[in-house]
Amino acid sequence: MWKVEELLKIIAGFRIMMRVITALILREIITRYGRDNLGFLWTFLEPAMFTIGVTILWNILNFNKHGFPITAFVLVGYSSGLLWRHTIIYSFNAISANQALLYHSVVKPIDLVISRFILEFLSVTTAFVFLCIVYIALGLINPPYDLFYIIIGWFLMAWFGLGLGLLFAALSILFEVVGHFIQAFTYIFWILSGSLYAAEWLPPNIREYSLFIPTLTNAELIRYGMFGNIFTPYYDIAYSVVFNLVLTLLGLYLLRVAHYRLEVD
Amino acid sequence: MSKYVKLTNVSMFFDRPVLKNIDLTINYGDKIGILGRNGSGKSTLIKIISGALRPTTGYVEKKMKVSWPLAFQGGFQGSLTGLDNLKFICRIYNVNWKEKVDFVMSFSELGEYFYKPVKTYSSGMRARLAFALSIAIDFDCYLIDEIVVVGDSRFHDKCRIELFEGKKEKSFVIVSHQPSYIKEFCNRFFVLFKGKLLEFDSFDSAWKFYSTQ
Repeated sequence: MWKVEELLKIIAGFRIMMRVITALILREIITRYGRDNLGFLWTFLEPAMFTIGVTILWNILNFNKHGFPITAFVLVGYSSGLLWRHTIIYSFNAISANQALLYHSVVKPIDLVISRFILEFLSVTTAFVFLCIVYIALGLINPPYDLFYIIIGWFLMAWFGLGLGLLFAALSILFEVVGHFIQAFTYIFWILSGSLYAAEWLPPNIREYSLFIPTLTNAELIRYGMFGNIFTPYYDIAYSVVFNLVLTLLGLYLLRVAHYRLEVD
Repeated sequence: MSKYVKLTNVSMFFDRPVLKNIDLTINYGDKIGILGRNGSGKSTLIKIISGALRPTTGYVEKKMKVSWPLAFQGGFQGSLTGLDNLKFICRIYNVNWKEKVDFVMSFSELGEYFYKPVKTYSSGMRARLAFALSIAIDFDCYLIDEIVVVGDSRFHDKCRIELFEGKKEKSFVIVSHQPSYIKEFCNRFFVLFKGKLLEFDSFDSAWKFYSTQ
């Protein structure tokens, strides 16, 4: 009977968590996007401007020596990169910005991070799907080769973003100095992440080690799903999954530690 | 199932020890009054009971629904309206907000400001909204960190009636540096002194100890 009771307790806790996260998301939508829906439009306009801008630039500079359709390459790379770039930025101050909500005993630090992650995931994904459809309709890009690979890569990338978000949310409480490293880390990792290059372009001896970057696998999967056999993808799904798992568990653990160090005014 | 909150050997350190080995069981219906000077750790204790802070050592076992500190305004987001705040609070506590709109609107006396962003409110309006939200949700135990006088004396009376008469079967934890409410409404009396929580068998003995320190 003990086991049933424990199980019921876990289910009850989970239901409270879902409820709190939903309430936080609905609250965040209003504060972030404002009452007029123009705010939400920026979620689409930002990647749209970036992809169009880079496409024009790369065309002028004649940068396209690798045989990828530029617009699609940039759209896929930029959008999937946002899955972790945005979650870092938003989860970093998720707790400090909302710590007054912790006075409600049902609200836990993890809820603050997860609600921001879900909102970010939904807005980046919606924007990506929307832009794909528009670009396909306008003839700017071709329809994807295999959706399955895109979805796998997309979710692995999002999971990486969640793990990173949990980790940085905890680190921001434990060590204030972390805030100063975020920009540099995001920028450098953005270049290394695999969103802006394909593994195929790398010299073989470097390529061998490049898959230690977990996001490269995710980006390659998305690209393969998008372009198919016009290039040779390199990926290691098992490594990416294990990396994400370790990152998530580490983030959860540190967030728990951080709750004890939190000084709420 | 019996309802209670139990603190076992709770200690809290910031740069110095603030609370030391506190044991406290709040039973359903208890009216706990805690006297303490400024800086004695009263607010820290309230934060630990509410769950906003985790104690450095020790445990808090909650077997009843505990409120957030009454009339607390920190959770307001400037761009949210009074109604948005009501919806948020109701959602996290699993209450249908539509059933609470009338009460909160009339109690807070905000009029059409109820539908305007909180950042346009005066401090009195914020306080009224915060108070109305606190009592709109039904808790077993209400946490009160200093009785703040909100609004005019008429509104003050309204709050008093709603809280201490309307919810008189509930538990209360009142921390204050002033005697008035503790003397009037509590049935268990404590003094927070040098990080220790000392219980007294009457208000007078608690007050005698407190006022001679």
